[in-house]
Amino acid sequence: MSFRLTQRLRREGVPAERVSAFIERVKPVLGERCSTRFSDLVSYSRDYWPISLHWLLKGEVPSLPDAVVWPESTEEVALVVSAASSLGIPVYPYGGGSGVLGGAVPEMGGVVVDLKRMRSIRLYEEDFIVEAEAGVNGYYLESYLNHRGLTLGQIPQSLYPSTVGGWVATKATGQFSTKYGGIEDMVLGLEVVLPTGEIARFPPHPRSSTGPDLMRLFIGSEGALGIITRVWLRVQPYPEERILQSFVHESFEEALQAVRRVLARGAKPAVVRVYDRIETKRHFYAFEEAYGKVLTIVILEGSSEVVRAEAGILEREMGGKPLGEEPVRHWLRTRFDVREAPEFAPLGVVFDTIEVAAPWSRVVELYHRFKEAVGSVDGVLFVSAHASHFYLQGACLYFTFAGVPRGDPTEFYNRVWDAAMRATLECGGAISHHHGIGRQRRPWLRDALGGGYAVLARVKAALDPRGVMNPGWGA
Amino acid sequence: MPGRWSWLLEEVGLRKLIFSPLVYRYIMGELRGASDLVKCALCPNMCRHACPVSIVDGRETTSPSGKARLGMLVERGYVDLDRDVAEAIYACLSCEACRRWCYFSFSVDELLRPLRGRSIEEGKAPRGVQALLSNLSEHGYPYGEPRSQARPSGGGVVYFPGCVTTEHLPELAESALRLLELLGFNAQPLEGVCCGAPAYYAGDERLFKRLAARLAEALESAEPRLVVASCPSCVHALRNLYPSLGLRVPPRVLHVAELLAEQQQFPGKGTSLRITYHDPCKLVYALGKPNLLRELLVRLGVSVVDPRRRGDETFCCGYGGTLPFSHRELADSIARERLGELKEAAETVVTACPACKLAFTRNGGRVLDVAELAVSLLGGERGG
Ligand SMILES: Cc1cc2nc3c(=O)[nH]c(=O)nc-3n(C[C@H](O)[C@H](O)[C@H](O)COP(=O)(O)OP(=O)(O)OC[C@H]3O[C@@H](n4cnc5c(N)ncnc54)[C@H](O)[C@@H]3O)c2cc1C
Ligand code: SF4
Ligand code: SF4
Repeated sequence: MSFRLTQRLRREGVPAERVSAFIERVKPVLGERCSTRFSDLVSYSRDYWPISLHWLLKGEVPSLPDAVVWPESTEEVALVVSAASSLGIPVYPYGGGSGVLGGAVPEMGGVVVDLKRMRSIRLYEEDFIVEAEAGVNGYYLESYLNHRGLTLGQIPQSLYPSTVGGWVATKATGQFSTKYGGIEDMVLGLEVVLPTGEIARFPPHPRSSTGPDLMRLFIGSEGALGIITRVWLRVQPYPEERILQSFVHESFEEALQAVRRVLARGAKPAVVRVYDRIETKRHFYAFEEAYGKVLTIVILEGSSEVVRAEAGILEREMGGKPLGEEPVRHWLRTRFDVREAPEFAPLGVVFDTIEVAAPWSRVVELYHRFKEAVGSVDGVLFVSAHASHFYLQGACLYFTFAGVPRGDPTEFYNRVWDAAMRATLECGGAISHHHGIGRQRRPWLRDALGGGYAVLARVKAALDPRGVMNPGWGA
Repeated sequence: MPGRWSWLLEEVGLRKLIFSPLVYRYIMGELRGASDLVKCALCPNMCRHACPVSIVDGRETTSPSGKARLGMLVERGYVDLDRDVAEAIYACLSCEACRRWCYFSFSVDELLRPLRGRSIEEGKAPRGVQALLSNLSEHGYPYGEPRSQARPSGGGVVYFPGCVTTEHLPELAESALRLLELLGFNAQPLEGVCCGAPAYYAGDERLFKRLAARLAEALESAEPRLVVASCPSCVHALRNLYPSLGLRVPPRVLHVAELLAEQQQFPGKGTSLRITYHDPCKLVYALGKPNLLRELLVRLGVSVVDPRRRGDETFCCGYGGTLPFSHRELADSIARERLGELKEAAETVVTACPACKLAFTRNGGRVLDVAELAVSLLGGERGG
């Protein structure tokens, strides 16, 4: 096969004889489900790291793996990992490849383990628990549950392309998180293949107090501590009623305070999204009364009595000017529209989103400092934000920036990220609210974790003595 | 009222935007931007969940955006269009489920067809597809020598069973003819002339045109006032694709289910059968009739159990497009997946497409075509 692609990141290669030895070990079991075909290698050279779109347009990929495998059972995953680990070959778990930080990129070569052939679902209806293999598609799971009168309540914007295993591995959260929580609130049990190839199972319980909660170690571990093969998730009855409401405020601060009051009264809207002025204009330009102001959309859902009581709280506490259901309907229709990245990347626009979090006492400061820091990077066209996941303690700020760099796009991109991460750390914020670390955020991980970084390093060394699981992640 | 890009002009300012001339010209509508294939290649696979190939095959390589990405790399000369890449580009059912979810309204099948054409020309298409095309080219029929060459004579109603029916399901054709008789139509079959749809989906445009012209001619000489077909792909070809080639088609071309739905009332005897149904992708997406089959079954008095994926969220049976020719194993895996889901609803499945019936029957399903069910309910002999 001849190709003219450049590998942008590939640092070290795996010696060919080790790759052959690996293939010899797994091929008898996996057959066609172990591939070294070029079409497969190139397809697994990347995830949805936005800067890599610019690379791709120039015929550059982050890094090609040496092989790709599609196991169909936990035992097959264990076989693959133990073979790779004994040969010292890097292993990269791969779900839907919708991660936005290069987390699944096979930076050092080695083997990509795609979990999407592991997609069985089992429902324990009486217990409100669903068991899903790691490769189950997000929408597939939600529609399976909806058909049976249930919901998981985990609706990330990447619901369509992503997998359950990817959600757990990145500690993802969905658009309805203010009521249902993030994936970490839903995981009750988990099965993982450790970097040495053993299988560890943490069975589901309503709650348990059996030593430290080791299962949590794997939530957000992004493939660096093992391969999640199965999870048990808590499910809920499908909402009986849904109430849509929207409000216009004069400022971002005012709207955030209003949401804080609502939460303090005990209401738990499923969706709350506060858009700053730019984003209100960008997403809701058809709503004249909101244009130039700050729009908040809210969805309350659940059993009728509860939802109506919450609507009363909303009415009393939100202030501003109510704008009715239509802006929320507009959001529901357009919430999976991600056309801008494919439209603008080919025009040379470097575009990304950065999600961070802060307590109420610092969230407004973070908003301003972040905007100022990123806005002053040469080439940036705009920085905007919405707040979309709320807690009694604070909120997530979800920033979008776009710019047209004069020089190298990657350098520009890294300058913006540096400004963003520094501003967040200076305000005491969390450098990631839900996308994770991947490869893009690794320069700031040590600072973000402080003394905790040593704990992470020791856990990693203990579980993965040969350093085969997702090498390069977070390092 | 502000427009889609007013915010950008206002918040970024004209001065900064003019320094980004591509962006400025794009938002002013002076620049088309990247091709559709490139946009699809840069999408995070926002229709993956609906793509049966992607869900069952599980490979990024054959996911909707994954195929577009390979296509883009080929078009830009970064990757060769060899057999390996061509195989991925053919891993598609032409079902158009992707379009249903795409905010751009793209169909990956459509975006990739020119590259399929190129792989045929360069001798890189999968062998099964090459065999299909050579049969079509030589015999005008996908499977070699046609089994029947029935030709209708002047006027009246023509029944067009389609090649899958003629080759694999002759009993379905008998039921359809019997149904037409019960409905008061004296129909004559037209068999052994392919509508050309397989060549169209394979990407061989020239062959498609040749086959289409042949069928249009055969129909023209029969001068029917109505053509009734069993296969929604044939109806789509005749109704929607032929006119775009400038070919004349008979005034009315209906799928059996559409004809049934036109009936005022059914003198049927009803049934206590619990039945589920499979909406064929071509009926749903290409002919735009997502609810037709279900509504028909309710009117026929059947006790209908809804499957999980239905209507405009249906899931192709696996035998769409040229997949059973290029990737037979994958096609059967998709059929088994869908059948398993249907069986969760009921043992007996009704569908309205011979390719779906073939896919499920071959994989152990109990499947009736809507014509067969209708005959058994409207007083004729037992169907299927
Ligand atoms: C358009 C778009 C919208 C998005 N919206 C959201 C959102 O609303 N909320 C949100 O939280 N995120 C969002 N994301 C980010 C991303 O979709 C999530 O992080 C998602 O959880 C990734 O899942 P995946 O299956 O695609 O994982 P991948 O991208 O394949 O992998 C992500 C990381 O997890 C590891 N991994 C994957 N599967 C496993 C496994 N089984 N075991 C161990 N490690 C594994 C990989 O090695 C990699 O490091 C969005 C992304 C896009 C492109
Ligand atoms: S068809 Fe549309 S939704 Fe699907 S991958 Fe292409 S651009 Fe994305
Ligand atoms: S046409 Fe069907 S099989 Fe082909 S990419 Fe679209 S959804 Fe997938």
